[in-house]
Amino acid sequence: MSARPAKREPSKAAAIFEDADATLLDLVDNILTKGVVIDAEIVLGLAGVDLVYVRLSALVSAADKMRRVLSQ
Amino acid sequence: MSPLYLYAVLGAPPTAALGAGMLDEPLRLIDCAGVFAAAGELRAPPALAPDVLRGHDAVVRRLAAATEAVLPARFGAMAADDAELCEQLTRAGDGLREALVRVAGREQMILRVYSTTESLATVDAPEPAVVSPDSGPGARYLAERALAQRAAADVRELTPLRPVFDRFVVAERVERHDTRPLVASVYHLVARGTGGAYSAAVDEAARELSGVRVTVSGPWAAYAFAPALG
Repeated sequence: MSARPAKREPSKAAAIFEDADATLLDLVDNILTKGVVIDAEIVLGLAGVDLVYVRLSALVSAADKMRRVLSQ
Repeated sequence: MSPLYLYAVLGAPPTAALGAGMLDEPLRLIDCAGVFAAAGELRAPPALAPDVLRGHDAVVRRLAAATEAVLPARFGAMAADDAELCEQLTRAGDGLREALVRVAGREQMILRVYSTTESLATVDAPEPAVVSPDSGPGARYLAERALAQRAAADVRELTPLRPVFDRFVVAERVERHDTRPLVASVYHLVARGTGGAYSAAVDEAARELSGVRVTVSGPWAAYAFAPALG
């Protein structure tokens, strides 16, 4: 019996992004990182957000910006 | 007087009743020298949760449906009272008014660009904008625009789609990401009511792309085209 080529599994990161609730990701992106802000003390605690990809999205967004800042 | 939670800055009073905020608090419209803040009396921002984000966005959408120019606020934008809120908005001056003109009668669409290849040969992140710390909001806006234009030129993955969406787009903001598979987010300002046609056109054209996957969402209020204040 010939072995069938193993189906390539998407990476965990790809799966998270591709399966994510895009609307919720956009909500997080729009409302947490954009828009008019008049006070720097924004509550960024994610307690109670029980969706892992939401947490990842917020961190991903912050992390790549932070990396650029730190490299300057 | 209770602290105020800002939902949006409006260019004119809405044509419908303000209604209630996301926690059923009454909303107030505060006239700050010709720009209008839509705010609810809340002691602090609520704990962050998906339903809270949806509630915030629902209030912004309701306001946008009742007036032409809306700059949505970021989650957690608070002021101690009317005077502090107006002071912040007044300090923003022309930058805020220009932004209100820019978003009037428009809505925001979002493209997410995902790489579907294993290659690491992605585009380079643009150089950061150089702005003096003493710069005003106008100079900061122009620097951000210049940065966005450089970044847009670098989103080579979208080049085949440009003839498709350019006819809809009146303003563009691009953010590169270092986090594959997501490589860029592109925010487009389009005329209100054209988001559906934009989405259909981009969806159809994006199916022909190779090595990249593009998702479309919207219409949204113009979150990505609101200025930083202060």
